[in-house]
Amino acid sequence: MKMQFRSQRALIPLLATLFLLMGCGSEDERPPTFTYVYETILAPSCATIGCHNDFSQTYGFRFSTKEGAYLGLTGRACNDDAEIPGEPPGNYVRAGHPDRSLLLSLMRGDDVPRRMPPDRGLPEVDIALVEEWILEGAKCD
Amino acid sequence: MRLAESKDLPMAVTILAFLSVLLLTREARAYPQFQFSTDNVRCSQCHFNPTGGGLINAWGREEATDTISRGGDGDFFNGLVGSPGWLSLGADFRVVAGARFNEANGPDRLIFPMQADLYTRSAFGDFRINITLGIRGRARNNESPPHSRAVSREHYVMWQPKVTGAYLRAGRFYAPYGLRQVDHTNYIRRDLGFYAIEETYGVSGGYLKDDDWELHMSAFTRDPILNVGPEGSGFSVLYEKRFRDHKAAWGLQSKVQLAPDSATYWGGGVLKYWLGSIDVLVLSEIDIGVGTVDTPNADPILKGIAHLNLTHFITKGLMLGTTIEAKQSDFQLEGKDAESLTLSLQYFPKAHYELMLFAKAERTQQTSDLVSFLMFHYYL
Repeated sequence: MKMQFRSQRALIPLLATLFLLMGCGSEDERPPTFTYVYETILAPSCATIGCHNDFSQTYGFRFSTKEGAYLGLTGRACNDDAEIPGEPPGNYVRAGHPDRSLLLSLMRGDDVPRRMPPDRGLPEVDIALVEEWILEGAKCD
Repeated sequence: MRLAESKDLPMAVTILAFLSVLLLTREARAYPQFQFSTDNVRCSQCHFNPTGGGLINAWGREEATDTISRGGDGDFFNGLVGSPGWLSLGADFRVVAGARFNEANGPDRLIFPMQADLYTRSAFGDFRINITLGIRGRARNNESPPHSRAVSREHYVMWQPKVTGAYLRAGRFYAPYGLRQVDHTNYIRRDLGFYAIEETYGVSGGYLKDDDWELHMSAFTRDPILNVGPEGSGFSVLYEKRFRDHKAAWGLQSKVQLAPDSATYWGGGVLKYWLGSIDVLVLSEIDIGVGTVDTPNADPILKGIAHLNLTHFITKGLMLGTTIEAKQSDFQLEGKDAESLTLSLQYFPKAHYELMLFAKAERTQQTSDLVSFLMFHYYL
């Protein structure tokens, strides 16, 4: 009985400490490159089984690889620096124009039938990083 | 055997009905809550898989009848259909009806088949072949092609001379790490590479020292066909040691995942503790991770997950679970944290049948989401 009590007491401060640490933070100094955006935001949030992986390809999107995600969003290959003639397919990402990029409206749930991801919204700090990447030319860097 | 049959079934049904109105719900698969609470010490006492989950063995079927459910016959087809000694068969079917609420998308109805899996396990001498074939559940309508519904979550060959002692396996399965909770939306599953259908290919070896401790080591790579889950390949180690007369356990785990443009290193611990005097099992896990991204000026990312699950065994066949989770995807950045609270009520009226009420509320700095459902589960 004594042992049970001790273990319970040990568990509470341990968890409390970790939960408190979860609130820490500072200004966003993360690089607005596509590699960073893909690895930390798009891949973990969009490439799950029922959504935009190579197998399900919901709405034709394949986010299982960086190259596939870039092609789907911008309409051009990752190693192709050519200017996009006219608007890109789907208008998901319009380089230099966050205001004309549907991806951001989808992420914020602004004027779209459904926010993405539908299960849980992305943190605004992540959406802002995607916005910065688009503003800086939406390169595959 | 520990769960005493109660005369308070009407009270239990009232609670169930009350919570079904009051609460809301979501999902399942393996049941780590039965470790210690049923006097079983190892997951492999009831499952063929050395780390639990999937097809249950003859002892597991007996426990399903005598200990976990309120009666019935847990045998395959209630014992009416036999199979040769070298072959074991089983199945899991789950159907869900409920709703999801969030401010951005409003209410969404959720009515869908969550799981339809058939299990086969063949034994030839010291070798075992385990195959799971099924149709994956789909929580929402989308345009994914019909062929993407068929899936084999697990298929592996295993060398296993005895249930305890050494084993070695190769194929597709989750590389053992931390708690194997039933709800795949838990942060300890979703954020650690154990989300739905994210089983990896690899080799795994381990040793089970009777009921005292077990060690599992794996080398894995993302499924190259489905391409689901974290990119790249890696290694993982899980060690679990029992104490307090096999009524509690602590564990340590570590995992490295290396991809062309990123690397993630996870380490953590697990504590499982059975409080017999109040029929509550405590399952907890903490993980700390460091991630790197191969791009200029990218600092390492420090992240963490905390998980606490309390399950109260109200009476035989009825258990109430509460899970609190918190995660921080980047300790150096404000707004990357999330918390969730899950309540579940599971009722096992007879062997082969389960009803589950599930409610999960999740909060981030920008959003709050609520998912609830009633799940019917039939296992063969």
